[in-house]
Amino acid sequence: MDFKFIIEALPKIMLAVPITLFMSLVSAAAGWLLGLSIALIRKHRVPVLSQFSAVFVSFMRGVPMVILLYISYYALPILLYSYGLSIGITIDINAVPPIVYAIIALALDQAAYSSEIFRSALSAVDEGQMEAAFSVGMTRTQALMRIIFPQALAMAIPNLGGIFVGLVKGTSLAYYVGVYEITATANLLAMPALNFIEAYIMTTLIYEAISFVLNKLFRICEDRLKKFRAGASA
Amino acid sequence: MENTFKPATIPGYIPNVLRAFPVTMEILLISLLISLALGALVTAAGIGKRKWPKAIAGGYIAFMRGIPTLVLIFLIYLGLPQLAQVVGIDLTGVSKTVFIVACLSLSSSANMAEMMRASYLAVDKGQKEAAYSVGMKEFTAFRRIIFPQAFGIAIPALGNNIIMLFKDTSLAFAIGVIDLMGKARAISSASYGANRLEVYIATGIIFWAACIILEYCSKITEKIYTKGRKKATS
Amino acid sequence: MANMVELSNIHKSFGKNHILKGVNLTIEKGEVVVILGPSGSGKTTLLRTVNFLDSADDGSVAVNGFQLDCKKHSKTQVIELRRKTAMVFQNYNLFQNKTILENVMEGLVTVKKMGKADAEKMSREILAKVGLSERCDFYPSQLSGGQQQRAGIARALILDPDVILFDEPTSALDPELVGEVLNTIKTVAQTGITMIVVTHEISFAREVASRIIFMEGGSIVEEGKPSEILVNPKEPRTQQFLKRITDPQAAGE
Repeated sequence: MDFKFIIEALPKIMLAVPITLFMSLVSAAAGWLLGLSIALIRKHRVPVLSQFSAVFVSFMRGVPMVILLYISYYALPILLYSYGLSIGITIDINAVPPIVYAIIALALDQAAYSSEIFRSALSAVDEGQMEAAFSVGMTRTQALMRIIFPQALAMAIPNLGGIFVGLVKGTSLAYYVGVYEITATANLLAMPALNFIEAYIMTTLIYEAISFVLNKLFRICEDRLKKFRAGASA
Repeated sequence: MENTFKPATIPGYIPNVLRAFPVTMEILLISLLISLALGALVTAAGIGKRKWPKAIAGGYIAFMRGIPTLVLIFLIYLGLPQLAQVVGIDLTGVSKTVFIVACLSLSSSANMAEMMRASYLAVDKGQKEAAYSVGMKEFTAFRRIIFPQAFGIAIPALGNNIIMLFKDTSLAFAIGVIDLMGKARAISSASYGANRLEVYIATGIIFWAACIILEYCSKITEKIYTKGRKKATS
Repeated sequence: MANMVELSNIHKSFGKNHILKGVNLTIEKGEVVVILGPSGSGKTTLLRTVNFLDSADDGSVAVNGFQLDCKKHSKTQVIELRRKTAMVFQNYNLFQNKTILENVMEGLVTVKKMGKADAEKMSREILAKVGLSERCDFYPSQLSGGQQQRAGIARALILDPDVILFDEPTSALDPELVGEVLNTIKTVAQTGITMIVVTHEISFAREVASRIIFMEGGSIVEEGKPSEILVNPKEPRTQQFLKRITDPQAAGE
């Protein structure tokens, strides 16, 4: 073990933690919002959109993340550039940081997986809840926002926690499209003197720590949101 | 930047990439078998009464679920030989496929263990008691009563785990194995990246198609297996 | 006094099942109407067409002078109609993510736009009346069925509706809990509020109903005062039904 390397490299790898977390948070926020929309579209069988969503979800679930990243990384610049030309401006593709492409791929992946979670959570909320909301005179929007969504969210939280931890792990693949997150940084630092074992043990510990904290956080969320089920015999 | 994307050429790359299909299949099948065996072992330790095996099983699952597969691959492929060298073992002759199988088996075994545990616990307690009541021994009760029911419950999750494992085989390219993804990279670098987008899309389609088939098989298996039996889910 | 509820020519089908076959019903202010009938007679569906939880295929519904055509209405009209009514459900349907107090406050705050402090004060008062002062901060899942249903009644009452609809309020309860809920409903009936109650509790009907309606096969077969319907029913179908329900042994033969 090269302890000098560890002492020098650790702070540098730690500096990449915010990049990993940033990528994860933005992808989850965008992806879950899209996922909720897809869930509602498919639940209400909106024509065309719902068929399109089904194919999209199937594709995202079938294609490995690393391929999605590559497709996003190579296809989006072309799309962006030709869109630019069509509205008469020349977009400098090289000015777009690679993290953008990574986030788009990760967000779409999250959208697909979270849509399935939201779909089953929404259908798990008792129909009587909607009727009760109507019976006191609420509008559909009020019923959804105040009664249905909070209950569905409570049911979705454990699974959302699962795919979020998966997302954080998945960001390590952004290395292949040139994002200097934790794994890429460790790799870069290990290369010159072949300090692989040290670099990857540190990386592993960092990911384990992140997963541990995230699992704790989601557990707390779950307990908070599920307090109303306290008396229910599961 | 010029739009060089030629969608019409995508189908032409599919047979080419598919030539690496046997490699991917080999990795998938061997990893699957090992991960099932390993998962069963971890589950047995996890649901047993002895304290230490239980704690180790819990720690193992938490660890494997916290580490990105890519990092695990780097840790074992690049880090482990260095570590082995220190204690005088030479791992340089071991083939890359062995490394990738080891990594995928380890990471998938945690998911398999979780699945097995959940299915085992989902079988009604009364079933075991009923088996004992007719005089069955513990092992007989497990083999003839508990396992067949737990298996029925596990089929959907097993299908998901196999799909996840299949998608993860795409990471074999990270250490230079020529699997589907490795082949795609090879084809694209042979043309200096000119056709990379088309090749990756072709590879994505292969994975997608294979996953649809896997999902279909999982549904059929579940249908056939649970036919006439007590509906296992919900 | 004007009519509080007016149902005219209500038709409703689910698929090929013609559940309601042109029902007409007029209820005056302060009446307590109990609907009896075998299961599948359409009594619950009729109740649910009043607040459009089930929208009738044809006919019209009026509550306190606000009339809606069942074929032609807007979403806002439905909501306005619902704000004149309240409902007590068979399965309580308390909002699972809210405490008992919040359940009762919910309508006041989101629908009537009342301030939270006032809403809470009112809600606590009404919960005290149904005997749930001690349970304000519990979640529905922590209460017995009887307590949940009393909270459901409080949630309906607090909106000061023109009419309260009770959909088999005691059917889901364990036998020993039925009494406390029926007593609460009786107290409500004495306040003079207009009520429509679908139930199987004959003795309860005898005590509180100002009028009993007997339904079968999607139509009203007979109606009248409890003393008439329960003691001297004219229609053979009513006689049969009452015989079966009051003398369980006869049912099997």
